[in-house]
Amino acid sequence: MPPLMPPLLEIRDLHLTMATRDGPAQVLTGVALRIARGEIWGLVGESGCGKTLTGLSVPRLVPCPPAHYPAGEVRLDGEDLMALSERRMRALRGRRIGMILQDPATSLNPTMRIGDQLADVALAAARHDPALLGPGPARTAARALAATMLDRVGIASARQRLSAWPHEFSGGMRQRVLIAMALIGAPDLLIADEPTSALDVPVQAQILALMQGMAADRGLGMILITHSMGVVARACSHVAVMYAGSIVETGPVVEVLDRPAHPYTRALMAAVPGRHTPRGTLRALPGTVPDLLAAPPGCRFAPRCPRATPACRAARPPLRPLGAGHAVACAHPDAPAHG
Amino acid sequence: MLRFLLRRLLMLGPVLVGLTAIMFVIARLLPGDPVGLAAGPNATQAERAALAQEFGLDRPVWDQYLSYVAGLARGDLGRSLMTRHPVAEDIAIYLPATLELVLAAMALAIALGLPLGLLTALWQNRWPDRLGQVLAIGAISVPRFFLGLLLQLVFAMWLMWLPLGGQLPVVTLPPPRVTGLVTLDAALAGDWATLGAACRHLALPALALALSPLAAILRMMRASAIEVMAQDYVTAARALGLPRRKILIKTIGRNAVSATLTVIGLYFGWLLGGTVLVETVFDWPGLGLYATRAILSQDMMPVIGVALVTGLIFIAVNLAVDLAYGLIDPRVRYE
Repeated sequence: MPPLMPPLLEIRDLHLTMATRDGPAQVLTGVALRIARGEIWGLVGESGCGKTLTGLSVPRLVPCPPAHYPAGEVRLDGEDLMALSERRMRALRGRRIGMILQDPATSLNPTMRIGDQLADVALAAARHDPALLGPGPARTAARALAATMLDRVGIASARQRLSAWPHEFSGGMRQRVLIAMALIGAPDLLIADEPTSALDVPVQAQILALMQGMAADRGLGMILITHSMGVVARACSHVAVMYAGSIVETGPVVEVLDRPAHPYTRALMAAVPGRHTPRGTLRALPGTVPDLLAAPPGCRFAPRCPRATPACRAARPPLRPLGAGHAVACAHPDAPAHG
Repeated sequence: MLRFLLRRLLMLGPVLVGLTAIMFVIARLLPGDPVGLAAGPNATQAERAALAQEFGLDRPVWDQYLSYVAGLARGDLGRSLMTRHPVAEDIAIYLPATLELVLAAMALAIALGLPLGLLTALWQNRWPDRLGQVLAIGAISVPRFFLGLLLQLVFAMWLMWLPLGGQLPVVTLPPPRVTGLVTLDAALAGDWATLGAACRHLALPALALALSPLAAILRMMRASAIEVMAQDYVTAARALGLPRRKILIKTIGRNAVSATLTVIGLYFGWLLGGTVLVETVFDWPGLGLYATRAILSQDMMPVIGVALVTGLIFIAVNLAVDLAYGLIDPRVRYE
């Protein structure tokens, strides 16, 4: 059966070029991902590696120009999103694809009450999916749904809070509101960009638990964009490690974190201090992400890689399966022994 | 909110006293002979002395000022040498016409400037935006009296669509005076024919007056909307699938509009004090004409009175603007 049934989201060989003053920058160079319902994927990497742009590319929110997609496909349940008209694409946003942007402090309209913002999203989704609100006057139903959603994301006395303003909420509460907004249209796919980075540590844990719970309840597919291996380990079922515009290692979290094969993945994991990390031994990854305007032809990690050979600098290694869903794009991986 | 209002109203007292004091000093410093002008060239020395005594102009300035301030408390703005009427009565006659003109001009400027600013921001750097920018700069640069003459030439003389000047056709009886605003009074009386005529007479002077605030509001709205469009919550609204019209009005428009409020308040005051050229061109019986005639005959009481009343209206408008900020953006609401 699996070959007949397309995955919830499939990104294939996605390339994105960004026009800059100094010429075109190759920001994404062949991103590939397959996400099924119920899976929570962590998309992890340093700042500037293209994880946010990958996330924004799915609902086609990257302004073109300056961006341009020379190649690639993004398919939702088999339907190629890149080929849709803007009008059809708009009908999918919020309704089939939910999105949470990076900063909860600036993602809410400061001049509208929380309840009105939630209800507007519900009304927009209901235009394409009337079953969402059920019978009766739409505005009333949308407000009722808004209250239900606020309650579901753990905001106390939700009905009264509908008339609150965004600035009256704390960062964690705003993030809860944004989760409610992203999920009020009952999407199948949720893309969350650094949903916990702007929050205090205890609140981070609450929000992650909330998102995991909502994903499990609704059978959502989820992409969690993060720079933290800790978040991946805590919340995700799968992980895709991005470096300089492409995915260098991917697989189930247990596989990748237990047996990291790419030197970059190892370096990222070593940068997370553990309980037994001795003082003064915190490891930073030497070097920086390469200049995307003058990218080397070979593996983009080669300039920072301890094991790079001339062959690495000549040709880019493709993603090669290692078994158990684990794949790596490296000519000299740490060969993990698979049973 | 109430405390904010009270504090602002308390500040009015000193402002008014200061304004009148400055006006009084300036009036005395000006060279000239107002009594001579008012009495006429054939008046005798005794007649002039009687006139000066009647208007209290023979007393020292500080004494005149004190009795003026005392009169203010009773709503008495003194008497005009020229019309021999109490200034307050004169102003009550002329102010509504000016107010009608300014209100119509500002309504036009806001009703067109806000949406056009929003749309040109959306079409940033495409040809409708470029055209709008050129026209806006043109509208700001053209002197208002010249614009008035141009409008008269095109719409009244060539096309003959609209009347040349005045508030109503000579043969039309004005509606019963309630507010003094001819259009409003006609509407209150249910006299639709007169209302139509009044609107046709109002159109050209209001347009002449409206163009520069329209251009200023448009440019401010455009700049502010472009800034708002780069905000995360606009991307978020798009990501959540909100319809384009809703994003334009509720997300971008609502957040961009507060920046234009300051311009609206300032232009309101500016128009109020600057209608005289347009009133002259269109033969509009307003405050500007009254004040100009008073200045030319060195009749200071009406000048001070007009300055005081326009100043008060200006303060009231800006108070309303401050309150409107809070209505639009809850983060700046006053306790």
